[in-house]
Amino acid sequence: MRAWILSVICIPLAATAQYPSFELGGLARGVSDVGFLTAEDTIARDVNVESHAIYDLALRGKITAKAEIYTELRLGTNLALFDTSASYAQVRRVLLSGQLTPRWNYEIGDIDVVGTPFTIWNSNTEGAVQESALFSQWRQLQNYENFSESNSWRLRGAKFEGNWLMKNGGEVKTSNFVSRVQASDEVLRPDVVLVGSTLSWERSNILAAVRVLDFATLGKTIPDGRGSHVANLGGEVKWKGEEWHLHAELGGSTATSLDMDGVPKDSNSPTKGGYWHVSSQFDLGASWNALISARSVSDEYMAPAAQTKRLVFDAAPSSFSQIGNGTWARPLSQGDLLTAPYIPRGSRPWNRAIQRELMTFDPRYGTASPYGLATPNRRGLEMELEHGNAEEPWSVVARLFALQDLTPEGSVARRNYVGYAIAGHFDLATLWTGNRSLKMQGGWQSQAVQRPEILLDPVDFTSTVFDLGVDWALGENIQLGYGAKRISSQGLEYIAVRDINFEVIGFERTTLDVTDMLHACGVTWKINDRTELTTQWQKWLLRDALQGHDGSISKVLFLFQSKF
Amino acid sequence: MSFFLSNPKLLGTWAFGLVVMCFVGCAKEESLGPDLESLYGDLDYTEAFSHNMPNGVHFEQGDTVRFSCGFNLPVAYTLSLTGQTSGATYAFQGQGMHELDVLWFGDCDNVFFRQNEWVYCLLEFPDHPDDFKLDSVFVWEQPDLSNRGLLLASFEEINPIFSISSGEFTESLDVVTEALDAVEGGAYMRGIGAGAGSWFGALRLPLDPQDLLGSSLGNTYLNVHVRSDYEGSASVIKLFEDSNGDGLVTSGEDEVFTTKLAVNADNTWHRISIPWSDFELDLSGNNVSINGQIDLDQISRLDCTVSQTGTASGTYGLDVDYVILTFDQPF
Repeated sequence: MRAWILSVICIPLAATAQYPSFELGGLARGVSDVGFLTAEDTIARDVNVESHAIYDLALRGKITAKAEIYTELRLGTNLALFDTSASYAQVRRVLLSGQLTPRWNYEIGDIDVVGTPFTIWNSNTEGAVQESALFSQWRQLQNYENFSESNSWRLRGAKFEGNWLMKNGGEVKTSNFVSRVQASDEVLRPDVVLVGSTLSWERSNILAAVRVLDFATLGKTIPDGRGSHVANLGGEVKWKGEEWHLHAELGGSTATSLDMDGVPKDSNSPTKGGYWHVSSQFDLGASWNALISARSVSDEYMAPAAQTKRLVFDAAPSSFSQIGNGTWARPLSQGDLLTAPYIPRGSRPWNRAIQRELMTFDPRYGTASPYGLATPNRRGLEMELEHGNAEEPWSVVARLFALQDLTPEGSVARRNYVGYAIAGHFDLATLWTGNRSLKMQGGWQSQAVQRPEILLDPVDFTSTVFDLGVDWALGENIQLGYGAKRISSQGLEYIAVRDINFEVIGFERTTLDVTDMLHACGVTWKINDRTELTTQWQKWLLRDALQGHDGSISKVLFLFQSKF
Repeated sequence: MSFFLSNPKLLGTWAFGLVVMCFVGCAKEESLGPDLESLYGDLDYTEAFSHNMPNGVHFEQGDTVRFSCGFNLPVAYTLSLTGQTSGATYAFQGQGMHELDVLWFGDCDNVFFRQNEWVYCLLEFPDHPDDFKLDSVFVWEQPDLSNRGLLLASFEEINPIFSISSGEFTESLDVVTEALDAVEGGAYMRGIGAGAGSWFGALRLPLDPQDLLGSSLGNTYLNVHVRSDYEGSASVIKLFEDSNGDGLVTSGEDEVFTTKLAVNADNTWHRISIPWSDFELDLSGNNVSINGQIDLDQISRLDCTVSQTGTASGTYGLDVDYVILTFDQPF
């Protein structure tokens, strides 16, 4: 179904006919990224140029009444002059879908799968709170490149969905999928599959669902191998009233205990964990909405498809990985993540792998919920107050959370996490009459974690994200923009190191005083409804006060996009 | 919302219920992971690092050294002992809840602590590299550690059970006595040979199978202290069976098992511990294979031969001291 929706979006030029019939659509994009170092930062290389052009051709073919094929073919070049080997072609997506029976649909190929934040969830990237359009267009580009435009996971496998209408008006649905997450090398690395099934019942304003997942390692695919599982069972209930909604979810996991080599232990006592989550949404009237939720996640709750990171934070920046005259091997900044170049089969900081272990996260973005709602060993409350949306003259959303360790980690006391965020936009053009619009948007997000100690340095860690954007339309087609982003974190935290069974085996003492400051200004030329060109200049100011490093990088970015 | 506004008590109950629910979960009784204080806490001493032998330790009289220290943290520690003349070392490692309390019986890691020797005692904490304590203890006599296993030769014996056997290429093969440089006591065996041979003499140690009852090949260790100043020197250790039970070791009738040890020519004593499972059937010369297995109940003799690593012509030699069999673990 999702593929069908996407294809409708990407294939606007449709012409239907008798079977077989085909429709064509796509996206063209040209990117140029020129980076400069300041004189005091460089010893050898002070200019870095990356550029590429891609054409994504989406083809939807209705082969028979029961089968439809959707493909995305990419033609690309890195714009290296006189180097034809720099051009390439690749298939971004292949999906065969159709209706088996009036009640059963199927998808085979590159499927999109999503569940709940506790089961299957591709969490949003960090470091943005209502950011400027100049940054968000690059974030959308990265999300597109990494199949992360929504909270779905792009997996290779098959999906079968069925639905039945009941006589009393209810509807029973089922969605089942299987995906091969890892292929065996037939020597050491076994096959790993992710299998899931959801059964839901819905009637008027009530929905109840049961979801089962298994992240299974197939031991028999390698010599003397032994299988292991991480199985999840969860249930949820939703009730929709006229003015308020209720959602409750409850579940647990059981996982085969593995030794340090990843082999099931002989005396296998499985790792078990659980969670619950209750939320209510209230319609306060006049476009105001409020949400309050509470949750608890145990320290050994395992959900490989939800407790993931999209980014490999220990990857080196693709340009100017060393600055300060070669003295600072800087970590990935937010600017690097936004402008990471696309290289076919190349190394990128973006991650699309689902794995059993918890991936490392970057504490500069906070330690309260690095794995989203499914972050192990947390309990607490969250509240949100919202008004309006992007289409209205102004909007605002305010969030507040108070979390706590469910079980203390390495100490007798629990850490307390408090965070808040406020974001919104305001169209200043509503203050005057005329065609030229001036839109401001931005947000502030902060979270702090504290734990008093007697014999230790206390936990006291704060991270903030600030975004500001101003877009001024000079005419119907030209728009000037300014964006600012500041990400900073200071303090001390002890980050738990967990083994493959989620047992805390140590702590990493982390002390940070880092700041990423990004400024951007640019101009967007909307050539027509589907085509636009944006040129922007960015200045990154990077600082690590504890190590005594700072530096700056300038970027000139060209982005041309056309949907056809 | 009007539903709640008209029923404020219900709204309050709902909010209170959510707060209460936050405390419903699978919290554990004990904190997760290692104690952070032991990893990153500031270390303070509640009791000074010291020992109970300020006038030196007389191991001959059965003295032991008790080291003690108190700290404010449950902390991992390493107490390293280093002999200032012998270079002998020994270390205690542990996780003291809030104190260190260990006894030293004179054990050593490599070579023996010598008599009349100052031993430096360094207390370190791996998780607190800036915190350490130093003390020293004087050793009046070497300890008698023969109760750790079956002592075959220390060369101090009045009525030794061993014998030494010379051959065609032997230049000298003697027990050196009143030697201050012995690794243990005051005597050791020195063998020197010259030529292109591979057998320059041997130390012969008779064994009684009764002494090996209850042991196995994997848990029986031969521990020998060797020293050499000649490049290419080696010791071939031979294990002889009385396979036919005639009370004699006869070449061509009884099985022999060997292993070869190269000896560093650094003129420094080294302890070498060999599990008996490392011995292999020796079919050189007219040696025979009967069942190819070491039968502990037929073991009759053990030889430490003076040899070389190859077959080149030259001068080779080594010193041997304190040969002891241990069971379950190396000496």
